[in-house]
Amino acid sequence: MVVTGKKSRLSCVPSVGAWDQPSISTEQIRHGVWIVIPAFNEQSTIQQVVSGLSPFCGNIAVVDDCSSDLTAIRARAAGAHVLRHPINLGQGASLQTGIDYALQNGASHIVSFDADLQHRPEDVPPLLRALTETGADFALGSRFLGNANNIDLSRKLLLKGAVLFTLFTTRLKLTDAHNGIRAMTRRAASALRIRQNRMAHASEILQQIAKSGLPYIEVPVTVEYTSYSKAKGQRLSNSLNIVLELITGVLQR
Amino acid sequence: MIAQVVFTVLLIAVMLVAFAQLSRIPLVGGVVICVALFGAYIVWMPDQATYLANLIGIGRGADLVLYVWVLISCAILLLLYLNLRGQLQLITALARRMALADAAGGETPRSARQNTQAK
Repeated sequence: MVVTGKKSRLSCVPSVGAWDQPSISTEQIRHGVWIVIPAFNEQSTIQQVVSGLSPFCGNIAVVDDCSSDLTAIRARAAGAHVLRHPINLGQGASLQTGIDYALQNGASHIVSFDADLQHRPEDVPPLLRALTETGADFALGSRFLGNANNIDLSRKLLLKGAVLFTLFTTRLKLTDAHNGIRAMTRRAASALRIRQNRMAHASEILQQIAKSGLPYIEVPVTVEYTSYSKAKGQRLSNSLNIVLELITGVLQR
Repeated sequence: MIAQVVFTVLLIAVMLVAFAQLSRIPLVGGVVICVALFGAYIVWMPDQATYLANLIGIGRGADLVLYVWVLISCAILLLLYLNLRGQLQLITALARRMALADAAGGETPRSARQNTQAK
């Protein structure tokens, strides 16, 4: 494990382990860890996602971003806390709403997780263990340290471009800059204030990590690309919008 | 003279709009005010406009006035866009507060389960 400088990047590759690690108690898992899932029209996957996460964490908050389908009902049926935006705001706004809710309910750790079945619930424990074992405040999932199954070449190139953009704009040396699965401590979540409502929030989070100087770590995760997740995911044309949103966000400060 | 007065009135209007936004969007608002002031200067000092235009490689003063006007228009568009974003942030805060106030707890409600099974 290596801790370096103010913008600390901790080098650690935790193994996929069980919850019975001494660093996180069972009690803490049941009550302190919250998983936040932004969701928009995910009725076909949300129940499976929540059910899959339930064995790992008792507190799951689904933020329904004004879906027109049964996302909220199915998330409730699966046992999640459900928050519903009265209008569609975007994934970034949903994530911040979920983080606020988790903090209000006394979360000690918060995990963000996508609703389109591209993340594996088994990757949550290693992220949390990475936080407690290394003292990092952010554990960022990396598909390029782990696996990116069925990824397209164009998407891979786009993500690599995002890594370069992040290095250029924040000086953070990452292998994966736009992965929705990440864990953070309460301190880190309190320091975050996502103002980019839509997809630029991923870059904004990294900018705020860099600015805060809080230590971070990358953890290998698996991202499974399906036709469903590809249809819901980012397109090349959106990257220009993200850059424009980031620039106007800077002008507005 | 008439054109000078019309342009000046328009530029004063632009400056007032930018001044109103100055506290919220200081950078862009400040740039708009500066450019509008410069515009007013060259409207009333056309000889200076030609001199300044030659300095930066533009042939005529009238062209410089045109470019400055285009610049002001773009800056106003940016100002309005940023203002819209500011409004969106207020709406976001309101929507978030409503979502937090109406959050439904974690245990599975029977009605929700029945609803899902019925679908």
